[in-house]
Order: sequence, then structure tokens, then C-alpha cells
Amino acid sequence: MTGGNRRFRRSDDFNDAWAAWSTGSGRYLHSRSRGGGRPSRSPSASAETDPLLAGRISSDLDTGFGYKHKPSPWNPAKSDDPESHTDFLRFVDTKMRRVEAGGTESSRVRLTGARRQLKDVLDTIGRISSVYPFIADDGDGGVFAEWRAGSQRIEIVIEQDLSAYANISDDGETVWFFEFDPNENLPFDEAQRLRQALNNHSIIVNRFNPQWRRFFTAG
Amino acid sequence: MTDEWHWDDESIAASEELYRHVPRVPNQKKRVDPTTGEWSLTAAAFTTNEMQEDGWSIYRNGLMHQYGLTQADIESSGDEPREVWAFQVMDVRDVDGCGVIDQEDPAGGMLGRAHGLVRCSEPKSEKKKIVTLRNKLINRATPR
Repeated sequence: MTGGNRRFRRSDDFNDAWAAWSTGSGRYLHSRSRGGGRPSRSPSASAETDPLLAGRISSDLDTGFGYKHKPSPWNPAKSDDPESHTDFLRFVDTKMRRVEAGGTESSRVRLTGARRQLKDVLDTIGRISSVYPFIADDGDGGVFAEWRAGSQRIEIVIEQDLSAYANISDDGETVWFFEFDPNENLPFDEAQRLRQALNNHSIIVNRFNPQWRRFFTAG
Repeated sequence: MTDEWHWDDESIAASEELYRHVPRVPNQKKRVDPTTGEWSLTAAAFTTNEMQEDGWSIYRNGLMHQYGLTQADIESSGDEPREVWAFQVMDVRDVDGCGVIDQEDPAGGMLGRAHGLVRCSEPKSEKKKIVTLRNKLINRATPR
């Protein structure tokens, strides 16, 4: 894809994805689905004002924490690379090992269990072109994976007591919430709901910022 | 602590700003949105565990003014560097059964006098309600 403006042409798949985000494929209604608006809590952002949207992202993006983001070392050349799902899982696994290593000695055992369980869930819902999740420990012995695009968030949390839940929200409103036992396989319908949400999220993120991988590092 | 569970003080104005302090830990409490470049808080900034134990710790703007405190007092409190995110009391009360109370922190010195808690109406509220409140606050909170 070349040229910043091309990234803002909304194709049918984008509009479908945006509508599906808000409606859960017809399971519920939300005002955003009527307008098919852009995924931003910052309406003023545009290709002219936002270097991210214009595709002019620095490879050393300032994080605000006094260090720079570096591009992931295993960026696939193309998002439709048939190995991308493997790439997705490798990112997840490496990131979780880092999270575990960064925990305290007492939290490590819990994190090890939570990490395995979260990886299983992500393996279930991840697909070829899935955008990587933001993964971190919650500081209380749990781990979570989160995707965000504007006002829309997907969240999967394994808590310190190894209970778990998944949550989809839009504009601060919870549109889907599901508690589950991470020791069991994710039920089919709920797995499908998460898979669909992640797929729609990935379409939106790829449309707005094809270089999204620059935000994700394994370190 | 008394047996009675206080979860909202109606004398606290809905428009009052509340300050949530989060440790300046890279890639944990906040993250960048890949579509907008904006920072936002994550689930780690409002854990269900902390809510179910006692409530989410905050500082009230009104009390900070009253005691001559500033944001810098929050940032420099504690052993590790902190940053401050703000939202309003009405953002909390937007979720049914959620509110704000004063809860002085005796270990916090002068700053502790401006301390409060975001709480739900039950000591061990269901996770769905806590997550709904968290979604709201993550969406509304802005960095200071």
C-alpha cells in the first residue's frame, strides 16, 4: 500500500468490520453502528495532523517513558504471510516469558500457570492476520491481553486466582462480557465471538495503520 | 473499620476531579493505541483484585486544594515514580451502584488527608460490574 490517503478509503470490509464491532453481528445494537464512524476517541486526528495515520511513524517512536519503541525483530514482510499465525503465537509466547521473568519470585508460579492459560486462549482465537495483543502482568499476579483501536477494546484477563474473563467494550460501554474456566477449552460460541471481534479489530487497525507492528516489541 | 460498608458520599460533587496514581512502569499500566497514537490506561491500572479488597485508591481535587497540595505531591509520593490520570466523580456514578468516599490514608502524611476510594455498593461486587466501571474509567481518564 502506498500513499497516506489510500489508507483512509473505507472499503466494504472496513465498514462491515466497524459495524460488526458495534453490533456483535446483529446480537445487539449500538449507536456507532449507524454511522460507521472512524475508530478514534480523538475526532480531530487525521492524516494531516497525525503522523501515525499518515504512515510517517518513526522507527524509534517515543514512548513517553524515556525509551524508544523498536520495530519487532520478526516483523513478517506481509500481513497475509501464511506463517503469520505462528508469528503471532511466537510474539505472544516471548512476551509472556518476559512478563513472567519480570515478576517477583513469589508471583512467578502463579504467572507461569496464567501464562499457559492465556496462551491457549490466544492460540484459539488468533488468525493469520491478527494484530498482536498488548500483554502485561496486572501487578497482582494475573496477566492480560488487550487490543485497542480508538474507543474499542478487547480484553482477556487471567487473574491471580486463575479465574478468567473476556470483555469487549466500545466507548466505555461493556458490550460483551464472559467469565470462563481457563482450565477448560473456551466454549465454541464464545471463542467464535472473540475470534470475530479480533478479526474485525485487525481489519480496522490494518486499515488505519498498516505499520502497527512498530508498536510491538518482544522486549 | 466498621462493619458498615460505605460506598458513596453524596456530598462529593459529581463534577469534582479525581486523581488516580499509577506507577510509571513501562508497558504495564498504560499503552499506545496503534490507530491513534494516544496513550490509555490498561486493565492493570484498575484491577478487580484491588477493587474487591477495599476499592480503587484516588485523591480528591477538592481536598487537595483545601490542604494546599498539588499534582507533584502525588507524583513524588511512594517509592517509585508515579504519574497521575484524572476523571470525574460523575464518571464513576455513571455505573449504577458505584461511588466515591473519603478514606484518609494515615500513612500518607498530608497527602493522605486527600485520599479517597472508588467503590461499588457491595464489598465483593461481581466482576462484570467492576469491569464495566473500569471500561468507563479507562475511556474517560486523561493524563495530567
